[in-house]
Order: sequence, then C-alpha cells, then structure tokens
Amino acid sequence: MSLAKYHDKVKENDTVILYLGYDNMHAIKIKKGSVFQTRYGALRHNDIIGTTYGSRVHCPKGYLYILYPTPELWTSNLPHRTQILYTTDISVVSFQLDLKPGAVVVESGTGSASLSHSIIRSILPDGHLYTFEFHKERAQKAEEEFKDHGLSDYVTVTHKDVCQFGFDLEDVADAVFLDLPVPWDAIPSAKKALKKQGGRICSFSPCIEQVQKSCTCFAELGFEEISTKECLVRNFDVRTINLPNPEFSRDKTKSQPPKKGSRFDRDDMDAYSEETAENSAQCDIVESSDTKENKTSEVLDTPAWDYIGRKTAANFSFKAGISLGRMPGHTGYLTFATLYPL
Amino acid sequence: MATSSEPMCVDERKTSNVTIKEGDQAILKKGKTVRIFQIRKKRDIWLDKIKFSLDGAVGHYYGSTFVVKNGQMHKVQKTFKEAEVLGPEKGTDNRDLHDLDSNQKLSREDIEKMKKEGAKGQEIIEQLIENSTTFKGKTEYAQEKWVKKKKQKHVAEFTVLKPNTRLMCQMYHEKSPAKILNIRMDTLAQILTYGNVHAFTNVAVVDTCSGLVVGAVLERLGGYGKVFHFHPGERPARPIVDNLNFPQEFLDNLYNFPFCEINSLKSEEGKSDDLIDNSHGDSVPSEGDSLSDTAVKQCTDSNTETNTGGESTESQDKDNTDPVARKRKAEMSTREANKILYSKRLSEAKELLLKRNIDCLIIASKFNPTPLVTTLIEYVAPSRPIVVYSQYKEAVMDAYAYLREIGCLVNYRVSETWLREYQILPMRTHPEIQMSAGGGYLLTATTIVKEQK
Repeated sequence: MSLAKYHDKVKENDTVILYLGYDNMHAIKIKKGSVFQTRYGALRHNDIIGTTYGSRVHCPKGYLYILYPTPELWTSNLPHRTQILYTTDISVVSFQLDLKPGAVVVESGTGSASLSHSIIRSILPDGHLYTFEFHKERAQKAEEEFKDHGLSDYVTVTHKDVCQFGFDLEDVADAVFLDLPVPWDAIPSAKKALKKQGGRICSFSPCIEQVQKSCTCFAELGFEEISTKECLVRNFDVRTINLPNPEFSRDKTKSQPPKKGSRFDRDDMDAYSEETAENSAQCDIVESSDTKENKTSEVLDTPAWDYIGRKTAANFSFKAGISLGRMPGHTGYLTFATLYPL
Repeated sequence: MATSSEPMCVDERKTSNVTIKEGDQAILKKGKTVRIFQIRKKRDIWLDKIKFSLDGAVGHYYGSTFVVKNGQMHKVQKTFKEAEVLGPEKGTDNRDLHDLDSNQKLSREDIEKMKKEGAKGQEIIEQLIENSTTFKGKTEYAQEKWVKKKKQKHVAEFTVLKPNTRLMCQMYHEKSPAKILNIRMDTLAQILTYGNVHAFTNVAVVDTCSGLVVGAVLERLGGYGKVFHFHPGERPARPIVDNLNFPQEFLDNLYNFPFCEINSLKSEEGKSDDLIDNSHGDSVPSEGDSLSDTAVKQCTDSNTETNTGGESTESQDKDNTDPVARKRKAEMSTREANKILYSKRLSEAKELLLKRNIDCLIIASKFNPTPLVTTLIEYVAPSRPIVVYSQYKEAVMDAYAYLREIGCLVNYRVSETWLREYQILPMRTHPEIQMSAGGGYLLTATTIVKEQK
C-alpha cells in the first residue's frame, strides 16, 4: 500500500481508517483472517479486502465506513509514542517551509512520525525527508511504519542525538524542522545542513523560554525574518437553536413548549444531541384551543431586515455554529526563519 | 485522451530556480513591504519612492540583498544589526525625555543630501544618532527600537525573492485582502493540508481569489496531477498564477472550466462517448495539430495576435499580397485556431471530470458555496476530502446542512483557525500589539460511496 498515491480497493496489508461516527475512528492494518471488535460487533478483515475505499461495511449491530488513510486521518488515529503535532500546526509548518515536490527536508525528533508522514506526502515523488530520532525503539517503529505505508523510498530514518552529534549533512536541505527540548544545540548543525542557496527553518517549542533562546540563536547565526507564531483551531458544532419567547404576563394562553430541532434528529452517525440549555427550559403546557396552538407555531411575518432566523409566536429559531466547553488553548510556538545565500 | 506531460527533469528544475533571470517575476522585499515586479532590462520601477532599474539583480542568487545607487541596483552584504551602532551610553527610563522635533539636529534635506552623496545606510544612522540630543538618554531597548525605525525609513536595502505561494499570500493579505477573499496564510495552509493536495492528485478548485488557491495547488502538485479551475465568466482571472511563474508543463495540466459550462457537463453524463467523437471532428487535422497548437498557445498566452500564428495555417494564400488584408486574414485564422483550442481543452476537461475520479474539491469563492459543492461533489471519487472556504460562517453552515441532507459525506468539521504572532526579544517578549481579526471559515469532510437508493 502507499500513502503516497491513492488507490481504489482495499488490499491485504493496507492500513485503513474505520469511521464509526463523530469522533470515533480507528486505524487498522488489514490481515487475512483477523477480526476487529467494534461497538457494532465484529468486523472481519476478509470482508473488507477488495471493497472500494469509502464503502459502507455492515457489522452485526450497525455499519461503518472504510476510509483511505490520508496523513490527516493517520495523525488523528496513529498510536502515540510521544506527544504529536496535530494537523493545524502541521498545515502551518508545511506552508511556511514552502514544502512541495522535490523539497529536501531535515527533521528532528521524529517522535511518533505524525508530521513526518505529512512532510513526505508534500515532497514526493522527487523530494526526501531525513528524520532523526534519539530513541532507538521509536526510530525503529517509525521506520517500520514508513515501510508499511509504502513511503520508504522518500525517507531516511537515523537513530542519532543531533543535539550532541549534529546532522552530519551539508548543503542538502531546503527546509529544517526542529521539535527538540534544546533546539539551540542543533541549530548550528541545521544551518550547515541547509542549502547554500538558502532555505527555511522552523522550531516548535511549547515554552516561551525555549523560543527566546532559539530566536537569539537564530539571530546570532545570521538567520533572518525570524518570526514566532501560534495557530489554534476552533471547531463549531452546527445546530438548530430554538430560543423560546418569554412570558410577560400571567396570561398563559400564548405559551407552548419549544419545538425540537428538525432534520438533525435522525438517528445517523454524525448527529449531535440537539438539546441545549435553552431548549430544555420548558414553558408550562396550557389548555388552549386548536386554533390558538396552531397560531403559536405559525411563522410570523417579520420586516425584511429581520433575516437571521425564523420567528413564531413561541420561538426564535436559527442555525448556529457553537463552540462549547473547552478547546485546545496551546500546543506550541512555531518559530520560522529564513537563511539567505551569502 | 488526456495530454500527459512529463515534468521537466529534477535537476533542471532545481537549478533554474536559483538565480535571478530576465523575464522572471521577482518579489522585492523591504522590511514588511513586499511588491512584485517583472524583471525587464532597462525598464525603471518605483519602490518606496525610489526609482531604479532591475538590471543589477540579474545573475545573482534569489535571496540576495541590494541597495539602490543612482538608479541602479548593487548587491550588498546583509544589513547591519541594530546592536552594532549602539554606543556605551544609555539611560534608565524616559522621565526626562521630551518628544520634540528639535531633538534631531539633522534636517530632512541634510539626510537626502547624504543619501545622494552615496552614504551607506549604517553611516546615515550613525549621523542621526550623533545629531540626536535624546538618544544617549534612552534605555538600551529604546535605542534599539529607535534604530530599527530609522533603518526602515532611511536605509533603502531590499531583498529579491522568488515568488511562491507563501510570499504571494502574505503580499495580498497585507495589501489587498479583498482580492483573496481575506484568506489568511494559516487558512490556506489548512485548505491544502486537509485537501491532501499532493503529487498525482487531480484537484477541482472553485477560485475567485485572483488565483491564489489555484496557484497554491499547482505548487503542491509540482507538475504531477491535474487542476480544474472553475471560474465565473468566459476567461479566468488569476494574476497570482502568472506571478508564480510556473513552468509550461505545470500550466498544461491546468484546465479552465467556466461556470456556464457546468450545466452542459451535467447533461453530458451518459453521453460522454458522443462527446469524444464530436470534439475530434471539430479539431484541425492531426498533422497540423501540434504546430498550430503551439502557435495558437503563444497567441493565447501573450494575448496578442501575431502574424506567425496566422502564417502557419496560411500556406495556401500566396495571391493576397496586400499587407493589411493579409494581417486581417492572419488575425481571423488565429482567432479561429484559438476557438478550436479552447473548445478542445474544454472537451478534454469535461471528459476527465466525467470519469468522476477527482481526488479533492476545494471551494474558495465569493459565490454561495452550496450550489457549487452540491453539484461538483458528483465528480469526486469516494473517500476523498472536500474543503469549502467562506469568509462567512453562515455560508459554510448552509453548505454543511445541504451536504448532510444529500448524505454523501462523513467526518464533517466546521472550523476556523486563530493566528497570533509574537515579538520575541530578551525581557520584551509579548504577543504583537495587533492581530488578525479573522481568517475565514472552513468546512472539511470526506466523501463516501453513495448508497444506491
């Protein structure tokens, strides 16, 4: 199999992404005779082999989809050996390092190879990734994964502590990426690895003190356009919201319980719960004539500038994108710099 | 019958990128000011109120720094650092410093005189420091900040850079964000990554952002794979793609698809075999094909009608010696050849799209995304990403709702990214005072095999 090039049908030894529902996916490696237990029952690998990617596959108690493993889906589902970079940061890194086919990239530390997979995808077929990891088993595991995913031709994994021993590369790289606790120990060697015609570098650090030291190091070594950024993602939960109109008197003939959200109540795997705090506030149910009840759910005539949603006597309904609860507030600072030719 | 073009060999591509050549599109960067020019010898340009010609840049590496002297560019070593001009004297705070024009003894004319006499940037700054009554009373940090500001104002040094997506996005976002629908670099970055845009993928892009997204996709494809640019009007407006100066092989893989042809694409499903026969019937005979194609392409590209294009198809007309009549006839046959090429490309594009194996659909336009995505999703293969961008969350939510109704996607996500830049200096580290208020919204999702109902 190859993450490098899409292919249509699932083969043995492919890594596939099982999509069971919102926030519910698994990456599995297809092996004849194997069985994967899901909340919908057993999934036999033999049943998947030969199906088209994107197909629905039925299990005893439900169904799921077989998705092609893009680097993004892999990042969301890979086994963590270390803290990883997520797609938001990966996107910015790829963009700011000007990655494209033919680019040669140097990276340390490999970690769980989340970013590595994305880099390889962006630079193939004529680019190359040199990735360095000081932990022996992690280096081996990364190498195995690249092999499994058909990417070995595009990457060289080296088990080495680059902070102590350097990259031992000269004038080869268009871009260098550092995700190290002490990046300034590796920056001089990184500078050497970059091509004489110039290149880009990025250092990812969770702590501002690390960023400060790295920036000082970049400046001292003649890097320019040193810039530190952070990028956060905010997801929206799209829902139909019903805000009940309040009662201004004790005359209860107008009230009615708010209507439940319409199309998203279906029992499908991507549905979220439609209940919000506003929705669950029930008004008193009253004895009222049929005509009165119908009137309260009738859509009201509103002025032309009243556009945002739909109004009945009882409710104001609209579609909203909501961000609830907590969101990732910090992953790391991304510091970019350019090395220009002399 | 898709044209397959081999990307040029890797070494060629690498070396041709490195030095500044005449005819190149080049970015001139001075501090935060980023402007793009085409390098044409002996032709003057204006940058930051200075007039000069770009001749002096030709032959040097991209990334070199230049200074302007007497209307010509001269290569210099990198600019001096602020710390180099600071003396030992400094103050502790600004309690006794007053902000007066008289603090600086040098007048504007004095400074202009120095510049005219060819004084180096560092010398000018040193003179300004000597003639400043308050400089020595400033703190070290205030001095650094002051020097940085003066450098920006008086030192005419700039770097020549090869245009790429990152620089073009930066340039447009700073100067004319409306032309790129306010797509911020991190948003564009997410679009490319979530779309899994890479070599060997076929990407359909709806782009009314001056070609920023089409250009970014072409860059990530590196010549491998096809791009279908859906656009309003008869001809696409994508100046950014021109600025990015792609090799012809990349552009050969770029198909234009006007919106007004989409309905005919929809009605052609099932009739695709007939279409192939028709299109071949309309084109010029195959022996003359390649010659007139290249000739016509030159005409289309340079947007001028030349006699060379006409003459290649004009072999028979020896009797007409009148130059005016000959020219008119040449122009007419060029126009004819253009029309034929245009419809040939369109037929090719339709044929390819009807295979329904588009690997990525990206929508980034000023139009309502919903009809675009619900129509074009038909041509996307299963288990492929789609990305819908809008400046407006409501539009993205609307597309989301309609796609949910069709039921052809999973793994939906409506999101925005938030970007913050930092000033990193010893004892002066903090986020930048200003930040971008918004970068637009994205809907991402993955296609599935559509269940037959």
